[in-house]
Amino acid sequence: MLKMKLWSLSVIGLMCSLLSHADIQFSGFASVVGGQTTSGKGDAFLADYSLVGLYDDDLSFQPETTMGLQVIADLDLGLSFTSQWVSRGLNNFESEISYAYLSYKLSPELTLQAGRKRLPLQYYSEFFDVGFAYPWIRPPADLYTWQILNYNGISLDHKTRLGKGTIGTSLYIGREDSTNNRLMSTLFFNEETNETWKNIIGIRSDYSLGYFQALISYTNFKLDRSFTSPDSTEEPVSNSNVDFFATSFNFDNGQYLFLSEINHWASSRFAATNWLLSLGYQVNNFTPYMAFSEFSQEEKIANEDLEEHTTSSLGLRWDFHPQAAFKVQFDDIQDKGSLELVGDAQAITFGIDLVF
Amino acid sequence: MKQFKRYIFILSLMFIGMNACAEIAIIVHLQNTVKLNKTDISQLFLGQVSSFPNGAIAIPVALSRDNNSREIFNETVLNKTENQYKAFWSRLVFTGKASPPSEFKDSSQLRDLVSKNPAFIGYIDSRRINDTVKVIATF
Repeated sequence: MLKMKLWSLSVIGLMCSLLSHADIQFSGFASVVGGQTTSGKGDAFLADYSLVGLYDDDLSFQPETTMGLQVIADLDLGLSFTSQWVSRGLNNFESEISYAYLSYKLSPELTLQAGRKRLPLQYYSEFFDVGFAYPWIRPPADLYTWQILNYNGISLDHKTRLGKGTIGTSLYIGREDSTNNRLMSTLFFNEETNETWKNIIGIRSDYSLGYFQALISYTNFKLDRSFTSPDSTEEPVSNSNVDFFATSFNFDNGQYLFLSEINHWASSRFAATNWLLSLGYQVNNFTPYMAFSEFSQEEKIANEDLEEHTTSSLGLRWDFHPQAAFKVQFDDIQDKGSLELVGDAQAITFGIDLVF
Repeated sequence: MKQFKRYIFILSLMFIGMNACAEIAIIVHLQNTVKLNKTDISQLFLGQVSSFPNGAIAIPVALSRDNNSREIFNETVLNKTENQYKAFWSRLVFTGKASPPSEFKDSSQLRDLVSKNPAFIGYIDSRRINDTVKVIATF
């Protein structure tokens, strides 16, 4: 927490010292989301794995309500500084820094960024918090289950024309230390667990051509895991190699919407393959949609299935205002793994997303 | 007489038609020699590239929401409703990938800006064109 406060202070300090020479732009987003399980007493719906956003059979607005404020200080001549604060119901709306980075345009095609950013592992990773940017209440939870969401490091972004389309490529390196990691400590080990992803190196490319968009990405990092308690009986992990691949293919012609992703990750002991498929139809500011996603993890040495869950979703997005949308979604979760995380559940969630 | 009435009828239809779908013009600086098709223009206004095909820096500028031409441009050239445009841009804005085109309330203000800097590209209602800017496409 102290670390966060220091970050905030230095960011505010930097902002103030820049004020006199910079053009300042404010923007932001908010998602107010409520929901509950409908399948019966005692059922829980894990809507957000990373931060353990859990709905139960009582209506709650805490698990997914999120607000963000972004400030960009444009110093001209290609240099800018961006900071994004995010407040979540899960953290009693205490704000934390999601992005804080310097950006320098080396040429119209090439940009260097350094600081704190969201880790761009998958298609929705970087704008996961911005509900207005996608049709659903949330990107399907089965695929967005990482315990680490951010990194401190450097990225190099390039964009150019390729054939009749455009291609954007990012290279990134960095590291993230997470003390008392939320997902690991509360859901997997039931004790204070510390995670470090070090030597993170990754590359991703997005290709856009008319109505089509494709993404491929690859990330490699070394994982350290330790347990704070000296009495812990869990085995710490040191320098475990993790490879992660993701690919997405999307089609959007303003009327029909086809969204998909397949990803695969592997460490020396575990491997998982996950996928999602979603279809939508956009007419007069209404977008009815459906989605199906699956997470499937196995232990490689004993070759046994561990965690396995699927989600079937039906929902409606209604853009009732040029900068706001109302959404309502029904989810049916089947927990099929031998390592049962939260069990089967059905849930209804609804909310309003806006951007400014 | 019958013939005449028919002419009047057709003429008035044409007049209504012209007003209902006012044309928009894509404008650049007088010295800018770029040739752009609809795809090129769309790529610039959606932040997918930030230079003209000849490599020169391109800065797209847009009209604000209370301007009719914005809706026509977004739907005809970008194939997006206002909300789809906002949703698309929010993916770039909040991830540090690009900033959306600056927005102007007044199309003559936008036109004056384009007339002064070869990097700018914008769109205005065709009826607001004058000889200070070059039209490279109409929709």
